[in-house]
Amino acid sequence: MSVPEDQGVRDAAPGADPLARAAEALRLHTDAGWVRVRQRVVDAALSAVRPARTVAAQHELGRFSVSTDVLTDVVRTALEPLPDAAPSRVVFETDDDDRLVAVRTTVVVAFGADVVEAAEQVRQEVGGVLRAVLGEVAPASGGFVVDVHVGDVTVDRRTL
Amino acid sequence: MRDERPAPGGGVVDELDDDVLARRAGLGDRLAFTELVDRHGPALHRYASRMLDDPSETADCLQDAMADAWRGLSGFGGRSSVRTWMFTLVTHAVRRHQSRQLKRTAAPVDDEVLARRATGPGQDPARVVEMQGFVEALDAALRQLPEGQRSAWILKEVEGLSYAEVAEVGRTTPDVVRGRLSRARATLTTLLEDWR
Repeated sequence: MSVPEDQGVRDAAPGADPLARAAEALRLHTDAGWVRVRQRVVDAALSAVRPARTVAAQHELGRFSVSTDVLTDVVRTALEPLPDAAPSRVVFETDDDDRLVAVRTTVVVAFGADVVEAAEQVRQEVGGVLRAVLGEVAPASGGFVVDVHVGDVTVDRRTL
Repeated sequence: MRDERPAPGGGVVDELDDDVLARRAGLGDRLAFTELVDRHGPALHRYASRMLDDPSETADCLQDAMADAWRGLSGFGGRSSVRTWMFTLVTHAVRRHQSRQLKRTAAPVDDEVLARRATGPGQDPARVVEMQGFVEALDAALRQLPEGQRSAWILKEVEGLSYAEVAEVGRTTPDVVRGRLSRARATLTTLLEDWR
């Protein structure tokens, strides 16, 4: 919302248009109620379970399953250090036994970066971290496919 | 106050656009989500509290709406701005709460109501200039408005959404929003006349 710097003072001043004053008064008025409920709202939101599927994992201690929601967070965290690319979407494909068949990662790439190199870094990181989390349960055909799709380019690396 | 927490993906969280925060939050970044809530929470609370007029209901409504936001961000396509989308979620939550509580929506304002002023008996607006008093009078006036007009006025005049965005939030058309705003302005002008 763009409000000229002095407009608030002008609108809130007695004698000004009461509706403009009213709108400005509400904008300037911070409800104490928000301060009271803010933490509760954040905590409740972050504890909400996102819709997700499970992916099979196999380690020395046995077989277990991992939520795609957790895997998405794992992939995002793994890609954080990359200087030229950041994920915008991660989609997992599984077979009938919930084994990971493919992971498709859409990324934003920094303008001027070597796209092929950035995509390859993403592919390596995603493949590596998922193999570490899931163990060796991908189909016997040789593991899961890691697809990388460059969906956007940004000129501001801070927005990666 | 600036939030100088470093964002995991780079940058400082309070410098990042809503779209970037939404993208990161959609992938599970809790810090990005918390920044979105902190950025828009006061306005969302301002809106919800005036739609529900009950602190407890408002808190529950915001909890529900922000839980919907956290769940929905992974599928947020950016078809609207993040801010508009969050107002839409709050509006849906408000309606659910009103429905559950069988809250009666405000009746259309009639001439008798219009004749009443938002100020209390014996109040002298010329001397009562404190913001709090004015906000209370405004709240009293807003309660006189039917829900659609109240929502449209707050979203357009207070929160600065465009006609199209207000229409999107209210699942209606910009022409309907214009009509509601016109009626809301007329009613509020009358009710707040003593504050001129």
